[in-house]
Amino acid sequence: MDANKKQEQIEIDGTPKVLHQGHSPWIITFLRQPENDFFCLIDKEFLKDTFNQTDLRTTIPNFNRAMEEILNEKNSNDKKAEEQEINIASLEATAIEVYSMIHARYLLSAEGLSAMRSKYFDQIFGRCPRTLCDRQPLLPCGDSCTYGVSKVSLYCSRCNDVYRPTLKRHRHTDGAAFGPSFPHIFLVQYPDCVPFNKPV
Amino acid sequence: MDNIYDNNAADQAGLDEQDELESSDDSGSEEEEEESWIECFCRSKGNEFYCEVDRDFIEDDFNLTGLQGEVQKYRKTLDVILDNNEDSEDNDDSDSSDTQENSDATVKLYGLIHARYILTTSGMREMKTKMELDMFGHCPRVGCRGQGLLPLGLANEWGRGSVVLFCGICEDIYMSPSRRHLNVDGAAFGPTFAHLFLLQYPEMRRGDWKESKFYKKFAAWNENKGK
Repeated sequence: MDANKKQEQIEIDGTPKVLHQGHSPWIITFLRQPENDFFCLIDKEFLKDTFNQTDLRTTIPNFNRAMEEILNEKNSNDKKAEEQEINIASLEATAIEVYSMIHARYLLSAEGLSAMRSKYFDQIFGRCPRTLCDRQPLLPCGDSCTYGVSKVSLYCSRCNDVYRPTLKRHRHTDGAAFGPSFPHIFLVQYPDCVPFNKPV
Repeated sequence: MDNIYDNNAADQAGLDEQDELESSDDSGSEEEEEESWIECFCRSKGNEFYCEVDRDFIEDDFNLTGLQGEVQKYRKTLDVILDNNEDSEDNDDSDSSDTQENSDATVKLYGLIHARYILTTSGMREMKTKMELDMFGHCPRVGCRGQGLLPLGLANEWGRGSVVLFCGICEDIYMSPSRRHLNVDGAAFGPTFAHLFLLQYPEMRRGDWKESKFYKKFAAWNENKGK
C-alpha cells in the first residue's frame, strides 16, 4: 500500500467506499446531492475506458472537457478544447449528461447491478404506492435511451407498472441514466428479487 | 394538459414521504373560541381529506339514523361536534382520562356522518372543489398522466383500515404519500363515494379514460355480449 495515498472512507450506495487521494471531487459532490440519490458510484476504470464511451464522443458536444471535469484529469493532448471558453453552467450540465449516459452502461455490468441491489434493498427508490402491492420496492427505469426525452420513472415488479417518483427532488433525474431495460436485466441477474406473489 | 410535475396544493401542504408522523390535533381546541369544532378539525394537519359537513345535515336526526349505537355518550359527542357544549365546559364529570376517549368518539361520529354527507349533492360539490385544488394528490402511475385521485374507504365499518386513494383512469387504489393520512379511517369516506362522484362529474376523469385498458376490455366484452 502506497503510504502517500490518503484513504478517505465515505458512505455511498449504503456501503463504505475507500477513496484514494485524487479521486474526483466532482463525482463525490454529485453523489452527495440529495436529488441524485438514484445514481451509483461508477468505477474510475470504467469511466476511462473508451469502449464505454462509444458514440458519446460524437453525440455530446464538449465531451472531452466534461470528462476532464468528471475525472479531475487534464487531457493535455486536446489543446483545441482548452482554448475554448466554456460556460460553467453548461459544462456542469454536460458533465451530468455524460455521467448519466455512462451510468446507464455501467448498470449493465456486474458491479453496477450489485450497487443497485444494495439501493434496492434499502428502498432508496421507494415502494409501490399501489395498496395491493404490499409496499413492493421499486426499480428505476427510463422511457428512452436518449438524454433529455423523459425523466426517470419507477418500475414495480409485482404489478408490472411504472410510477413517477414521490419525492419532488427525484423528479429531475433523467430517464436515460437508467434506460428502459435496467429493471428487467436486474431481475434476471437477481431472481431472488422477483416477487412470489403477483398482485390481485 | 397540466404538467404533472408542477407543484400542486397537496405537495405544498407538505405531503412528502419523509414527513414524520404527527398526531393530528383533532380534539376541539378551546383556545380559539371563534372556530367551531368542525372547522378546527378539518383544518388540522392530517385531516385534509375531510370536508366540513353542513350543520343542517347533522341537526337532522334522519341523516344520523343508526349511528346511536356507534359511539357511547352519543348525545354528548354530538354536542361537541355542534359546539353545543359551552354550558357544560366546566362539567365536573369529565376528567383528563376521558378526554382522549371522547376525542376518538367524536372523530368516529364525525367520520360516519361525513361518509353520508359526501354522498349528497352539496357534499359532492365540496369534494369537487377539493379535487380541483389537488388536495387528494395525483395518480402516481405514469400512464394516468396526473389524474386526480379520490379518497376511498375499503369498508363501511370503523377501524377496518385507513383511507386509500382511487384513480378514475386505472381504477386502482393507492396509499397516500403522507404518513399523516394513515390515521384517517376509511369508513369516513366509504367504498361508494369515489364511483358515485365520477358518475356525477364525468368531466373530472380526464379524456384518456377511453384509452385505458379497462375501458377497452369493457368495450370488447360489450361488443361480444350479443354474439
